Amino acid sequence: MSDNRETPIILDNLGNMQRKTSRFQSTNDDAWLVQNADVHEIGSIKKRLGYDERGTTLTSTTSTSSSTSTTTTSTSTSTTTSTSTSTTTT
Amino acid sequence: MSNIYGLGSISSTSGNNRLLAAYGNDIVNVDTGVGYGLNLSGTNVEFEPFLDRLFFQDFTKTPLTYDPDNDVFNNLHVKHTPISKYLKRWRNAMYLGFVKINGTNYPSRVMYSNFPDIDGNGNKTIQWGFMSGSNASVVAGSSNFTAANAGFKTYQLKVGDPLIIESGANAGLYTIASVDADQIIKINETFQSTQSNITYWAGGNWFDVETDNSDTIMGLSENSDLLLVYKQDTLHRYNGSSLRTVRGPGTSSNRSIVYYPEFDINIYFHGSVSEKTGIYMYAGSNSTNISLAIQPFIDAISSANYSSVVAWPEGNSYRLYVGNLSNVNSDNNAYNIEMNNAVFTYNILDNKWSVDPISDVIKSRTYSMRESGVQKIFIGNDSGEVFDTPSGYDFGGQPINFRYETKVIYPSGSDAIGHFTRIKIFSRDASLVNVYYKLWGTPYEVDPTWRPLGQIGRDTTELKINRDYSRASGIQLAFEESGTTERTSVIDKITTYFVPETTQIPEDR
Repeated sequence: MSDNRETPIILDNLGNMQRKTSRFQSTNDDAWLVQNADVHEIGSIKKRLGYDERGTTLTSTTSTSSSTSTTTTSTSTSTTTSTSTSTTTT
Repeated sequence: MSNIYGLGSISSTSGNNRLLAAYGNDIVNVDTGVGYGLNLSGTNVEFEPFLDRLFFQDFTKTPLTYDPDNDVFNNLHVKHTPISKYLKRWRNAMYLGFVKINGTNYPSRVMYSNFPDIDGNGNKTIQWGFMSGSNASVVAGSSNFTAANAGFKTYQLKVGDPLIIESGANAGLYTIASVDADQIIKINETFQSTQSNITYWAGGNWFDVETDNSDTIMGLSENSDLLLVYKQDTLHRYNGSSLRTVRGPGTSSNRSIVYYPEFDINIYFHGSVSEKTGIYMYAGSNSTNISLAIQPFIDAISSANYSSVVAWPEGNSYRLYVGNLSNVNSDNNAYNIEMNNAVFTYNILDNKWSVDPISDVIKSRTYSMRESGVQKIFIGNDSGEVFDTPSGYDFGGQPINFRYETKVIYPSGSDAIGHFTRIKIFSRDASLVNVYYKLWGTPYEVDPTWRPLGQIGRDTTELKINRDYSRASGIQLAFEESGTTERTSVIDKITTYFVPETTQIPEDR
């Protein structure tokens, strides 16, 4: 049962993180911390989406000329044009 | 596993979408895991799409371009191109910032290609109006400058371009008087001495941006049809013929720069002295600090990370990965900040901020590819992983920690004490959200820790505050949920109920 002396303090414009002022200068709707929240809908806050891995984790590099080579310093050139050893090219 | 040193993406005119990662000593197709055998040095690699190709620069390797239709690298469009740290397509040409010529760095120089034209094979291509080498020769008394295997004509050197001989008896600056053939040009005077194996470079497609100081080029972008040249401390704009300095700082991190063509604004990070460190917006006139609302979090960024912050766009938001935050210097823990792998998110339309800890150390980003007509945004971490963002309900399998803290609410001002009786929460899909509170001014103390109130149950949830722990002048509320589930909690409205007791703080006897 509520107390009829109760004063409601309404926060309905959520999502505005504001640390520029002291706690006495900000408005009630200002937030102290908005963390991983989407604020696109005006007035409400929504938990943010994440991210998904694309492809598989890279653990070595495999050149197109070999199916099993590991990270190497080889200069496989099957897919590249070697540009020069001298310093001028045509 | 190691860093993703760079990410590049492209959607070709023929409809081939490719995502490439600089990883280890190679560039790798992320979707197939297959590399191209480029033997890179492991430094940052920057990519830029142009002419249906991906250009790249790593400040070390002779540049190549990537053909997305044939899935190969070759030297089309870069047959003789300076090495640089940064590159940007602007007004139908490619611009390079912070270049290296014959092993010498030019940290304030911008070089650029010519506009595309048709080569001898009927293909559209660009030349750079640039030639360099170390096998040129001259004869005393002659104006001929000869270099075997050069391409003065092919690479479109012009009358009036400078020729720089870097050492020897003829070292100095000359002007090209004629371009007779690929391997011979004439200058407008005669050489003093016979000399061979001359190291030289020639070309006029360049300009310097305020040299002779330590303020070096840090990145390139565009705005209002102008080329933006970011240095560390200053920002400049180039209209194709002249430079102008913009009011506002430059950037400490090339990868913090994001251009929003739909708004014609640039947002970027500047890290230096504490008074200037922050996130800035350039909208065509001046560059202004837009991060004052989260200044304590800006202050918590490690200065060691100023040069490695990474940003990307997500819809109308700017998202900036800044690394770990630490700003612990108060006895009141509410003012202390400690957070790992923080991302600052700025909603451009609403001017609102959030601070979002994620699960990964982000090293690179790309957003030049479209799939099914939708722009795709990718970020790369320090462990060989590339992520598609925003997507899914976790951070690559790790939980998303959602948290919302209200400011301290003083219903009747900080001098009136009373009882907080209950709170009412209006929400959607929020049944996993836990609610906490902290009392401020009890009457002289602040709760050191959060007290649990309960969990949101229904669309309208009422939680009663224990009367034994309800007397204060102010209250702060927190809402928290951490998980990987599909449901995305929404909180619409919070109502706090307060019964005043006195209008004056009693004396402390």
